[in-house]
Amino acid sequence: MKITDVKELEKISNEIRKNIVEQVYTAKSGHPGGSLSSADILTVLYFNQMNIDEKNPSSPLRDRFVLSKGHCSPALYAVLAERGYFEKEKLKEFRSTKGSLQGHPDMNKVPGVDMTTGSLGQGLSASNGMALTSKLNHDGFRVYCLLGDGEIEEGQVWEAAMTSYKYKLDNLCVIVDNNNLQIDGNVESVKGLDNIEGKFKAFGFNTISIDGNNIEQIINAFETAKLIKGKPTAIIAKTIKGKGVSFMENDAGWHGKAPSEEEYNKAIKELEK
Amino acid sequence: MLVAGKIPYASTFAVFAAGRAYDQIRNSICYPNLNVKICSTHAGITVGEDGATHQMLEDISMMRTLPNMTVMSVSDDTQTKWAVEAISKIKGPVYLRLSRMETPIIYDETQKFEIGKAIQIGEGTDASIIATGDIVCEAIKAKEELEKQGINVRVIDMHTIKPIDRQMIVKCAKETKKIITLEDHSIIGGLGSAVCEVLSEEYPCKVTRMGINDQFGKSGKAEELLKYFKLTAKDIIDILGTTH
Repeated sequence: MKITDVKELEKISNEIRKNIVEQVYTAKSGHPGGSLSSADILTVLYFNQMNIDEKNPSSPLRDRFVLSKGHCSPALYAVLAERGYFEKEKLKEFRSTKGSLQGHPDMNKVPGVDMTTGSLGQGLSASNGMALTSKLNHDGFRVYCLLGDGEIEEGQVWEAAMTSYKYKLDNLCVIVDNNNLQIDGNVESVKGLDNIEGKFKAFGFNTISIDGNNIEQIINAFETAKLIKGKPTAIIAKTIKGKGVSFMENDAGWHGKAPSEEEYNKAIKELEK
Repeated sequence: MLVAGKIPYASTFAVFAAGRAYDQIRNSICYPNLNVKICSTHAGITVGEDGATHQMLEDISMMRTLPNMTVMSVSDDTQTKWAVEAISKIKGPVYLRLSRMETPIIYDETQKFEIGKAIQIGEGTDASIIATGDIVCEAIKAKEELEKQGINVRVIDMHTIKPIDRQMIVKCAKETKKIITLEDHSIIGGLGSAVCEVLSEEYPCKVTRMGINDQFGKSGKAEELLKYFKLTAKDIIDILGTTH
């Protein structure tokens, strides 16, 4: 299933946003801000880019996706359900004891989850291993790894970046969800984080900067990344935290907070426009 | 890599393998139950001159609390070869603890080796010395010396700390008068603790734990440090002599 129509992808992305808000509201906990900022990237990956089959989630030759920013599980669960890996009904069990949708993704509990994540900074290392294996076995699959911008303050990310470069992992594509906010505020004020593109470039990556909430730009970036040989690509995707829900947008307060009933109704109303 | 079909073997100093990478081992290996083999080197006080920063004395303790993890600590060259191969045949994460100190060869090729089954050396009933890792050889030396004094002990080489050989521990407690544990590791959380856990549940008796007593290491030659921390054959003999 490959959808190329941008309007249709935007519709799916909007559906995913609704399901993100729905999950966090139902669970009364979770991380809406970064999930909403990354919804368009996930939509493009799962409906336009990745070579995957929801009926055969463990196929050895499938493309892999690692949600290194594991707290944005609502976005991943929503997109997996939308793609048909499991019933949407299951989304109601997010973060509850009765279900398999843990607060952070568990590869052994949820079909379609390629790597267990949650402790920030580790996903790129796992992605390197997958990409390297793809190369060693001549499997030809690609690996996508979504990092948060706050997350790249973790030192392990840069150790892993050196490894990606060392092994010339051109089948690896890193996406930084650059929404500029982390739990404690602005990434620049928290850790002086700026010039993300320059940092990845310095580590030997091919880099592409885009508007990460623009479906067309996301598709183009992934297509360009596929053509790059001999080095990994990092897409710096400028996004809006909380994108799609006016009162959540650009507010670090919505990093890990559930909406009240009133807020929930307002959010869904906005997304249904 | 494992996620994509290979079995990764990772190796570095134990202080980094278990200490620095604890969070990665916990969240990215043990929780998803991935088939990763961690072969740590330079464990214990016997790393020697590098001193406390490099002497990992808590790794068995940390690794064995992790669900899904198998923990092994081998005593000689032959056993190391067996273990490295054997761990590839079980599924799931393994922590294999290795040391720097040169140790005598204990086993020949006829010895049976199975993960989770301790090796009994001798039939003595005066005491059991349950030991693990590079200082099993000290326990064997003590056994031989004690024999000359008419004291018959057995040595149990507990190469697998988790899952621990409960049956062997209980059998020794029933058949021998005393239990001593010996490890190149903190007495908190390591082999000594594991043995006490089994015995307190199944056959309560007194256990003497020999190991590093809640302190950091220091620089020196391995042999000197074993003396300093009272982990030599002589120290075992002293204990069995005074309490016998």
